Amino acid sequence: MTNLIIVYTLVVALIVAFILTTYLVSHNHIMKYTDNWVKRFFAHPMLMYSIRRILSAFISLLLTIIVTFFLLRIDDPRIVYCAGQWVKFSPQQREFLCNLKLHKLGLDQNLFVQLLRYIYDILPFPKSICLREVTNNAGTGFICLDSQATLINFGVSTQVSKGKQVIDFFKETMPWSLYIGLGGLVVEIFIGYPMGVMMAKYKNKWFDKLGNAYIILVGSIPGLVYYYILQALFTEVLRLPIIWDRNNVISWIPQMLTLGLGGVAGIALWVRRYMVDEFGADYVKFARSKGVPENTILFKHVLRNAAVPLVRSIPAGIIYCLLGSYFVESIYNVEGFGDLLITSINRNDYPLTQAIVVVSAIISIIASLVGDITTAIADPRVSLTSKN
Amino acid sequence: MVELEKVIKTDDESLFEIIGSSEEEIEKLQTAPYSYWREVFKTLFHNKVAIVCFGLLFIILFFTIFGPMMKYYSPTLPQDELPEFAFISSDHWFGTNGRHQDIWSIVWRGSQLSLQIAVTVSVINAILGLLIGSIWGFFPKLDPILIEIRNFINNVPGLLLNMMFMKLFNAHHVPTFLALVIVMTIFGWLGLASTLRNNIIIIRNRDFNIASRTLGSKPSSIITHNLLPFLVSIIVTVLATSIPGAIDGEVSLAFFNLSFNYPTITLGKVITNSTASGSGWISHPYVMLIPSMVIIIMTVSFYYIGFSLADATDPRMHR
Repeated sequence: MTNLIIVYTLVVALIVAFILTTYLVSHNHIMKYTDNWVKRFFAHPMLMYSIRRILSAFISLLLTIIVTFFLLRIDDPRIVYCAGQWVKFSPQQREFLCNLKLHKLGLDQNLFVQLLRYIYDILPFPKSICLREVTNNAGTGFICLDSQATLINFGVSTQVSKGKQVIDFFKETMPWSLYIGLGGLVVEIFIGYPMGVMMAKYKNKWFDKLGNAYIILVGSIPGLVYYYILQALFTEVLRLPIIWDRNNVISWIPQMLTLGLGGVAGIALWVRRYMVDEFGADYVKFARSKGVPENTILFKHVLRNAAVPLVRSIPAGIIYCLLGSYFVESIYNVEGFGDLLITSINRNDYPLTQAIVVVSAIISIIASLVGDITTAIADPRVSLTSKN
Repeated sequence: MVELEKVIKTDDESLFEIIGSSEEEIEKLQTAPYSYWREVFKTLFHNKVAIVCFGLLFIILFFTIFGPMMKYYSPTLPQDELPEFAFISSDHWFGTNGRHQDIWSIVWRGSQLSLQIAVTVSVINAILGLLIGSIWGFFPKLDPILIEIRNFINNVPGLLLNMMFMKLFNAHHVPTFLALVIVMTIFGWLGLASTLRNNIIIIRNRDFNIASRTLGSKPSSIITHNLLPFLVSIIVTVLATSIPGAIDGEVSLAFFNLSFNYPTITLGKVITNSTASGSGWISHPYVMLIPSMVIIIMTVSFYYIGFSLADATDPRMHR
């Protein structure tokens, strides 16, 4: 018991420390009341910016965890986990079994205690988790038979596949989502970029109009309708397999194309817009008046400048691939991350859903951080460091 | 030079001539009369594709209202009343599907309900988005709270929130229409609000706003008279995508069984049912293609009209 109290104080202290540091950093109190060397250390803009970003990301993450934690526990766990089970037993036995089950899932305590315990579990430092727990002879307490040391404990799945570590689900599903997402990204870039360039080059000609029609079509059709029409095309016209199969690489092509062709519209739209903006710039007019050939202007001057805002989105795009797409994965029966979320919500698997939320929040936070940092590196016009 | 300075300094009355004032002169405008909204509609109706889209939308709306009155077979009729997979004929104008339902009837019934949901959702989102977005942009102190909400929405999978809320509403027997509207509006205003906030921050300290503020205008009148008219085309762009967006949202919710239950029909339900495994849509593609075409025509025309309206209302294109 004392052990738990120490742990809870630790978790609460960490949360308070986070909030306090963020407050101090964001209101420049560090700059006001400190010595010179501290001031000089914190005066570096890139460092300050990164600290602020990371701290506010932690606050967002904490908020996300807390809100989803309570959202998932709106239903009474006794109804979700015990209703309609153990029909053969007497009411007292049923009550006992239900309490036992809830204890094993950690759902028998106060909600706030559960929340603190959860945050303690997912904080990455070495701790031991119990793999097998049994009641003692008197039926009052619990004994741990088998324990294991880990860094992060997401708990075990309760419904989808009982007793399986949640981490193992991620290891199984994420690679498939990543492969398909990466394939989609490749399609997106290798069709989207040339399409955007050609649209900007032949502005207001038939190719541009055709491209714009495609962009409007993809943007306005409901996603589901678009996916089904593509599925019909792939299976009826191109004779590709209708269902995803992990051993057959050809059956991955429809999903990659579906994801990729949707993204092409976005990329082409932005490439075209940036290039048209750059065409009006002074340096292009100057190059033209010098007599530089139009193609050289296009590829040497305009494309280089216009590509910067788009190239920076690629690393973030790769990270986002890990999350997969709900529709594509459930239409083609891909055993990916998006499909896992749907299964876990439908089956009321609290630990699994909660872990998915945490992981996807972390992934999207990292992706947006990476996006910002690549912007600072790739774009010569953005610089966070001060030059002496 | 010296003479000129003298003339200016002496305030010589012979340099000026009093022409008097006349009532007629006051009424005359020196420039041609110009009405903003008339110009907007003039540009809009010069766009041929937009006219075609208006026509298509009119046809869709016409059949949505009057289609079920012309020919209607209830989807709950017993199985042997209607044939299975009948192709387009004079009896069944869009054919029948594998569940012995007349596609003409279910498409237009579905589009009635879907359009009702879409219009309600986008009106609520527009009102909330405009209100919250303009307050958010104008009062920077509210920034941390709303940015935290935005981060939360970006971090959490949207599907999870939708499913949780729908489950909650179903458990408390909230009417499905109300539940759908709440689920789609609870965070639906965020898109418009954050776009509006970003743009208001850009123009908040322009000269015309500083002038208004120093003259003592209230924040509410600065927002309604200075900021919103300047951002009209951005607002129209977001609103234009909101009706197709709401139709799309309903279709996606129906895919995860979060929309209406069996006898009530929406477009999402039509699409999900006609593409479910065992519905035979691979061998009879028209079962899926006809409802899809109706949805596509509807959303594309809304979208295109919205974008041409946004182009036409852009203040930079006016004088």
